[in-house]
Amino acid sequence: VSVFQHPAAFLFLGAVLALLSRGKLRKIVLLASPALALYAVSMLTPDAVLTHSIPGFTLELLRVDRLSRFFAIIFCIASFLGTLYQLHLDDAGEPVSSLALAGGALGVVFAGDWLTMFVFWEAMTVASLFVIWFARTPGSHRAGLRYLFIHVVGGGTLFAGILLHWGGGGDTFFGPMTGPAGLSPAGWLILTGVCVNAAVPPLHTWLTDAYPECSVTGSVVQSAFTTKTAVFVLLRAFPGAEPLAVLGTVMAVYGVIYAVMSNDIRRLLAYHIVSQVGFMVAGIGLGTTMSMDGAAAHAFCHILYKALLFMGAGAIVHAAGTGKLTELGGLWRKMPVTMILFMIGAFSISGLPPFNGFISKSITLASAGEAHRPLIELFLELASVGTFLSIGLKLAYFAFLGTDRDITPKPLPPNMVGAMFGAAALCTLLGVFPGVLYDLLPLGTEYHPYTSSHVLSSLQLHIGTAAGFWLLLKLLWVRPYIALDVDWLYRKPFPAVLFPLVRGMRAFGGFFKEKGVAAVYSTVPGFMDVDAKRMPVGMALFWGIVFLSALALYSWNF
Amino acid sequence: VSARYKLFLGLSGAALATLALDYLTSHGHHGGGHAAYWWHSMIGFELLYGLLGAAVLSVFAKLLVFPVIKRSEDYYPEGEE
Repeated sequence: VSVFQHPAAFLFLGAVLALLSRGKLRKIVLLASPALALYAVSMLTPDAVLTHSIPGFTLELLRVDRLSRFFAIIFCIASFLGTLYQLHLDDAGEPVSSLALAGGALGVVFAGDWLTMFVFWEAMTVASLFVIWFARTPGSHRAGLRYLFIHVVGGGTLFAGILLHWGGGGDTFFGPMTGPAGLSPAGWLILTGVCVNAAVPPLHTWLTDAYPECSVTGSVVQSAFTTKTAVFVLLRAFPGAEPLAVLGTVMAVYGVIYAVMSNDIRRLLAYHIVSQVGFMVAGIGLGTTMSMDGAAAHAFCHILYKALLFMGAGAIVHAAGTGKLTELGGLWRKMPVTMILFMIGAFSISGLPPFNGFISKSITLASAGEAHRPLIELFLELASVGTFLSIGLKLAYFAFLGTDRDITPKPLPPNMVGAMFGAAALCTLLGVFPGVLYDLLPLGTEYHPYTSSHVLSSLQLHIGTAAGFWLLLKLLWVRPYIALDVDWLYRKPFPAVLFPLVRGMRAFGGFFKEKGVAAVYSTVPGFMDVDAKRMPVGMALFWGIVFLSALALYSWNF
Repeated sequence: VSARYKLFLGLSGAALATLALDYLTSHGHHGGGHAAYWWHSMIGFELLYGLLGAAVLSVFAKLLVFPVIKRSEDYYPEGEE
């Protein structure tokens, strides 16, 4: 096929065209790109291939199977909804970066070899970094730098793993790394690099740190792509990797514990990405057909309800001017539509029928039971309790009910409301007609969510949780504090060591600039410029002499 | 009648309704393929698990962890540097 049948091409091309156009035309380009990409996905047949030769290597840019189609469809839908939510922005930077981010995700999804996968993987890092930076706040600037720091380390680990895999005679084919012999050292490196993007604790803080610092529209887009692309790569390359079952379960509970402590609504939701991706990672680790299809289905549904929740939270922040629960309250009277749509998202993420979380989460839970992993099943169920407790009850109570703060909300742009309606409609439709989703599942699992025992279990779990919230409302009362996480390590002790070191080196450099260069000038007066303070040639000469002397000394000694 | 009391009545009513339905439908899946563990067939297990789970999570997070790791909201400096 030609390069213009690759779905990612539409998004990258759309990004460029949107940058060059303005006004109505830009809006049309922004919305048309993901729509055309979705059309391109629907036109792809399993035998479609696209290769590109570079010296010594043939890149496989396009490989189509059920797994890649499944993720490509939801990424296109997420990109469309995210773009719609951003449509009122005058600044092209954020929507353009968002399209590029979605394009990178599609590039990874359709990649046929590890190198192609890595190139698009890194493109996603750059694009998502700009989505953060286009919030244009000092906080987002700093959070973006920390984001870059973690992802450079993660990407480096992944690339080291890929090179080691090839160096050891491994296949360039982007496929399973797991085998009967367990993971090779290269496999471990790749797995670690992917786990950074999957936000597996303690490698998760880039997410919970940076996503709440994005603009309200930026965090909607961010919530969809990076972690779910990592889930896709885990499904592709590490099906049934045993550590993932336990890691995923830990993630699921870890996220909800922090969500219970969070005061900022978008940070609370960011911790729920960690928690929900935990369900997927656990499903991949269990490694049965059903559990892996459960993970894929949950990724699909998660993208929709998470976007909806971030849209609702963004609407609150946009309208009320704050995202802190301690400063919110009584919004149900003033933002009833936002509340209803947000609650659809909250019921979806908790897995309450008839919304889409119910039809996907219960697959993973049931598969843990069938795989005879009772602890995983029970802890994932505990995470479900914590999900409803912290979003459906705590966040909803303190934002929409609670103490009436007499907030006069700013009106919402219609495109934001439209995007919320779209996401809520999809959450409900998939919940009511699960067959639409199940027909697309990569491994073709058959599952029936609407049995009396499943529905009753879910209802009882939610009623029990609501009773718990009702009894413990005093304890769960929000407080104006942040909860430290492992990012403390690189935000406090690390700068405490690094910054004095940098200052010392600067002083050292400054000293030589003053004294050393002056010494060179005085011995070789011919290089003296008229303006003695500004001598780039002199500086280069000085460091050249230092370097050559060091080299001479080194070779002379040995 | 206060809103709190109404909520209490509503919750208990819903809980009782699901318990009754659980009892009525449980004969179908007792000992069936679904009951891999005892809690799959125990009537009202999820009700109890939700209540206790919420309590355990709240107490663990807010009483044990939060007092140790909570910091003021301007703990991390924002802005320049």
